[in-house]
This record gives sequence, structure tokens and C-alpha cells, in this order.
Amino acid sequence: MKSKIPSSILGGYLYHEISDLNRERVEKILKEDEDIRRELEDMVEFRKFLSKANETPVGEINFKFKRPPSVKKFRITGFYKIAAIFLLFLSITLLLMGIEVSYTPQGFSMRIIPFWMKSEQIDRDKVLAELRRDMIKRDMENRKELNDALWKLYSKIESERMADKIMFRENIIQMRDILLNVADRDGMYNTIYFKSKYKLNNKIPH
Amino acid sequence: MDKVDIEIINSFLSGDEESFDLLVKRWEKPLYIFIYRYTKNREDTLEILQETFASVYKNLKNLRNKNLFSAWIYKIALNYCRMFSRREKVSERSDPLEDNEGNVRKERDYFGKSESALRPDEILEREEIEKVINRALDRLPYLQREVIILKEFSGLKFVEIAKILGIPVSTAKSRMYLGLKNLKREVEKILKFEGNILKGSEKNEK
Repeated sequence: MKSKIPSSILGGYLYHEISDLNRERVEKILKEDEDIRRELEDMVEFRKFLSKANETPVGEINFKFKRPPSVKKFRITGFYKIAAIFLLFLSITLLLMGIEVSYTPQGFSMRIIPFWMKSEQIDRDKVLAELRRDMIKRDMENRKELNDALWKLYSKIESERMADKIMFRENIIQMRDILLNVADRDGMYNTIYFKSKYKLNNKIPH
Repeated sequence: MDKVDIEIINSFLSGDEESFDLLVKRWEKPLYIFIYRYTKNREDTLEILQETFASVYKNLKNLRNKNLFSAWIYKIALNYCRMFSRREKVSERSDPLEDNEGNVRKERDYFGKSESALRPDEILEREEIEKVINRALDRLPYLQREVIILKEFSGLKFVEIAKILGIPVSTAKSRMYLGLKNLKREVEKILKFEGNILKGSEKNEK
């Protein structure tokens, strides 16, 4: 049989933790309903029975709390926060960007290429390198021809007239310098390649 | 929540390590009584008490609302008790109050001291009642058992019980009332059963 009073209200009534309004309601019902009244009386009796085994013990527990092994406190100070943020930023940067290190006549250089630009950059570099190779190749051929022609001319003059030879030699040296400057302007590889392979400066007597 | 507790907590959190001992002193008894209902022996109770205080020691700084300290500490103890109960279930310990020969263990003296204030027959009666109640409690659903232990044996308010168990106050009251009814029924069953045994043995003696 379903009780007229919810068990939560009966629980509150039994332990005197109930609002005045609910207490009045319960007491009104208890006057009318003998079953509930008897049930509650039984519960009060049972609580007395329980309390026999529930006396607060006297004496000492003799409990001694052993502190857990202390770890030196690490406090997150402002410095650590900044360091952590910096490391985080650095990690993200390194993750998102590629770092390219190259050597130029001026020394080592480092540049950061974002990963989303990396493939595009590589493609562009490839095309540029190819173009440069072609240019160098053409340039070398032209320079070689020019050098040979100058050398032939110089040899011919040398065998004919000494005075003109001196004057012409100066012209040739000037032309050689112009040629080398052009080569220098074209970049390191160009110059090194040109100098080592054709040894123009060695071929032309001072 | 006691103001003294809040003062002790604040003192501890501001670096006074010794004040934690005061907190232990204030809470060891109520927690001991509460834990004892689960373990039913002194050694395990002290062990759980140590674990509870160690957890409080480590995590007190994380407790934001100091007014909830009592509910919080009971919750920690309850979690350890639940773990203990699970372990005990696994090891299938039949009746912790009885030794191998079926004799009732002399563990009524909660704090390791005999209760000299009571007469021997009173001690015997209390031991018998407690034995019956513990058996009956073990037969209850754990949700009801927890509320009964917290309310009837630890004397907490329903509001505190609701906070510890994370349930509405009305649910705590309802579980209490229904649990008490079930406990009464179980106690009656046990007493009836033991009465029958007693009658049977008397007949045999005649």
C-alpha cells in the first residue's frame, strides 16, 4: 500500500529536519492514519535500539598521522610562466615553419619558411636554380670564347710589335677585370666555377 | 562548518604545518567511528584514517569552498571505505566480527581500550546488538547503508549527507527512511532466526 506521506518527508520528520509546514502536514495525517502513526512509533523505537550500539566511545584513538614524504614545493612564478609561454611559442613556430640554412659569400644565413609556403618556395627555388645553371652555362661558353679570342689576339700582337703589345696588354687586363666583376656579381657559384674551371686570371699574363 | 576548522585550514595553507595536527585531532574521532562501520576492525580503520588524512594533506589547497570541508573530508573517507569494501568482497571475508571458531571478536572497544564504565552484562548486550546490526547492515543495498551510517552513526545533517553523496536532500531523507525500514526488517529476521536456534538448543538440552 502506498503511503500518504512521501518517505523523504517521513525521513525528515523522524530526524526533526523538516520544515514547519511539512511537520504540520505530517502531524495532521498522523492523527487520522493509525498505520503511519504506528510505523513511525516503531521507527522511533528502532532508533533507540540502534543507539544502544552507537554510544560515542570514550578514550583516545592513539592515532598518529604520518605525513606523506614532502616534495619540495614547486611554485609557478611569473618567470616560469613566461619561460613556458616562450617555449610553447618556439615549439609552435618550429612546428609550423621550416628552417633553411644556406651559405653565401657574406656568410651563413638562416631563413624560416612557413610550412604552407614551403612547397611553393621549393618549386620557385628549383626553377631559379635551373635558370641560373643555364645562364652560367651560356656565360661560360661566351667567356671562354671571348678569352680564347683575346688570347689569340694577344699572342699574335706579341709576336709582331712590342710597343703595341704593352698597350694592348693593358686593354686585355681591363677587359679581364670587367669580365671577372660580372662573374662576381652573378654570385659565388658562378665566380668559383668560372675561376676554377677556366682559370682566366691565370691564363692572362700580368 | 566550524569557524575553528576554517581558521586551522587557513593557518595550514599559509604555511603553518603544525596546524594540520590540530585538524587531525579534531576529526580523527568522528572519522574513526564512521570508517569503523565499514572495516569493523581497528587496524583497517587506522589505515583508512591515515590514507584519508594524507589525501586531505595533499589536496587541501585545492578545496575552494572551505565551508564544505566537513562534507569533503567525509567524502574522501567514504571513497576509501568503498574501495575497502570492494577489496573485502573480492577476498570474500564472511563475517569480520567472528574469528575462525565463530567467536565474536573483542573489538567493541573502538579505541583499543576496554569500556570500564559499563557492566560486563551491558558490554555483552552491546556487543550482541552491534553484531546483529552489522549483519543487518551488510544485507542492505549500499546506497541505503551509506546514508544510515552517515546519519545514524556519524550524526550528520541531511544537507551534509546530500553534499557528501552528491544527491538531493530529499533523496537522502528518503533513502534514510526506507533504509531504516529495511534495516529493522533485517534485524527482526536475524533475531527471529537466532531465537529459533536458541529455542532449538534448549529443547535438545531438555
